[in-house]
Amino acid sequence: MLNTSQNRSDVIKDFPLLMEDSNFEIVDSSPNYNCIAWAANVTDMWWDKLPINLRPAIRFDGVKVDWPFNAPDEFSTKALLHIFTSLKFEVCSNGDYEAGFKKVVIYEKNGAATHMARQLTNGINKGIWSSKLGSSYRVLHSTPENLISIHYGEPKIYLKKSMN
Amino acid sequence: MPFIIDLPPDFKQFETTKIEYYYDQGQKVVPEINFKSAILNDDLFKEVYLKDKFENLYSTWERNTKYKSSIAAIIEDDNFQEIINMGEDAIPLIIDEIERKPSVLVWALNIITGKSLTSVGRSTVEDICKRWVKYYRG
Repeated sequence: MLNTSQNRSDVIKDFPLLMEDSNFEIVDSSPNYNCIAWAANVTDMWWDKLPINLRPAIRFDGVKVDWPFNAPDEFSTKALLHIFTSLKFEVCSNGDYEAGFKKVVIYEKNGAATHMARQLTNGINKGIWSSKLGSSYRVLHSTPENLISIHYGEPKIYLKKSMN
Repeated sequence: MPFIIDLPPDFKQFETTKIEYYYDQGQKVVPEINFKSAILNDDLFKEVYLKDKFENLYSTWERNTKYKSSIAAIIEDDNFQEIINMGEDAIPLIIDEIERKPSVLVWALNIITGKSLTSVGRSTVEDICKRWVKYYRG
C-alpha cells in the first residue's frame, strides 16, 4: 500500500500544493530511477551528469548511470535541454494538454535545474502530470505548478514532442 | 606568622549506595559484592550508541536528499559522509535498513567495503539490496 494517508501526508508536508490536488496519488516507490530518467520514460537507470569518457557507468551497485547524447557534464538546464532536444522535444510555451504531443517540464530553483516532470498521454490519466521525486516516490499531480516547493522551485521550461 | 581564620570549603562527592540484605537463619547478611558485575557492558553501550547515532544520521540524510536526483548531492550530504566515517561498525546497521527498505543507502556499502556485488547482468537498486543482505547474512 503506497497511497496511504501517512505517505500522502509526508509528501504534502514537502509539496503543500498537493493538498488540494484531486489527482495527487503515490503510484511507485522504486529507487531504481530518478526524475530525469522518468521524464524520458526510462525506469531502470538514473540519468545524471557523468564525465563523457565514463558513459554509461556502473559506479555503485544496482544503478546504471547515463547522461546521454554527449550532454555537458553538469546537472543544468543547458544539459537537460541538450538531452531532450536530442530526443526530438522542442521548447513550447506551456504545459497545457495538446492531443498528439508529449510534454515535459524543467524546474528551476534560484536559476539551477532541480527536477523534471512529464505529462501522461493515454488512459484515464491523460493530461495529468507525473513526477519521480528523486529516489523516493513517483506521484501523479494535476499540473506542474502543484510541485512548486522549496525543494524544486518552479516549473520554468516546457518542451513538447509530436507522437506522430 | 600568618593566622588562618578559615579553610577553603571541602568539596566532597557523595555517592549513594543501596545495600541489599538477605536473611540467613534470622541473621541479616550483607552479600559479598562482585564489583566486576557493576562495570558497564562496553559492547552493549557501543551497540546502543552506534545504533542511535546511525538512526539519527540515516533519518536526517533521507530527509535531506530523498527528493534529489543528483547522485553527487545524495552521497556528498554530511550525514551520508558520517555514516561512511563509521566504517565497518555501520555495515550491520545498513544491512538491517536496506533489508527493511531497499534504497540507495546501499551505495554506502560500496564505499565502506570497496566491494561491488554487481555481476555481469543488470541489477536494480532493489535487486542489489537483497543480494547484499543475503551476502552479509551468509
